[in-house]
Amino acid sequence: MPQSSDAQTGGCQCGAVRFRVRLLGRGSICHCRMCQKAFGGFFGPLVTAHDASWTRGEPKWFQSSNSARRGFCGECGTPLAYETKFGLELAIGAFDDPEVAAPKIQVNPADKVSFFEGLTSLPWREDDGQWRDFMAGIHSNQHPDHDTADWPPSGRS
Amino acid sequence: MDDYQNCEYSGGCQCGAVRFHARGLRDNPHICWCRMCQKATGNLGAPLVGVFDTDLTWTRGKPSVFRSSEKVERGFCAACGTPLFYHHVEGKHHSLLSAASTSLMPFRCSTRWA
Repeated sequence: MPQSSDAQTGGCQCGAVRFRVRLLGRGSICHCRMCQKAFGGFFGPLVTAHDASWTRGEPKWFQSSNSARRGFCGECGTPLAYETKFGLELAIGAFDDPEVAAPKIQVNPADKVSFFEGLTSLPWREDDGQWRDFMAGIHSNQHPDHDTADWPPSGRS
Repeated sequence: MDDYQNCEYSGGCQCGAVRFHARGLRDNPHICWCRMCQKATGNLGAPLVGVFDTDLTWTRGKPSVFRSSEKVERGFCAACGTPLFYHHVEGKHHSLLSAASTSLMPFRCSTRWA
């Protein structure tokens, strides 16, 4: 099982909620309809988190079933966590470096979208310059991919 | 290829506090791999499809929004967190998170209105 000896960090898009986790378990992608809906995605990417702590703010929780609750940032909505009696799992995309938790297994195949296998072979959008200019001109309000002493920066609400 | 523009779609967040109805979609379902979409959705990429503002109705509740950059806001459900849309504030359409609706996902018609 992949493990990390160094603590990994992450958090939501706006930076109001940050976490630190000392040991990662196995990363997975879950195809169940509840993960799809909770993430607004085609699957839920989650990794088991051992010895995790919320280092800034706390997530809000939605009790998505009798057995599970899902944590998210109340300020910006980023899905952050899935928790059951078996423990806590964190959203892989919310890590500052999602590469630390590459999925190793898929779960709940019954709800898998029919086009899933084709996603990685989709054609790339041809760059017509318009989008390149748009992306280059973005002034992001996203929290940087590392811990910060203060957030948001002074002068920005 | 489905005729996105002549179909109706509905969807919403996980808890049901926010629901939408879309009368036709833009023919642009796509996945965005940018770091902002990853972080906003806690995911590996964001599946999006556009709907013109004139074709989009919030039928229950309203999304909350986070201004993720100068010109872009992202909608989500304040009660359960489900990411719901990407919206350029000067644009004429919202890009919906396409997994928010079973009818959106295979991009198939649920009901034809035309």
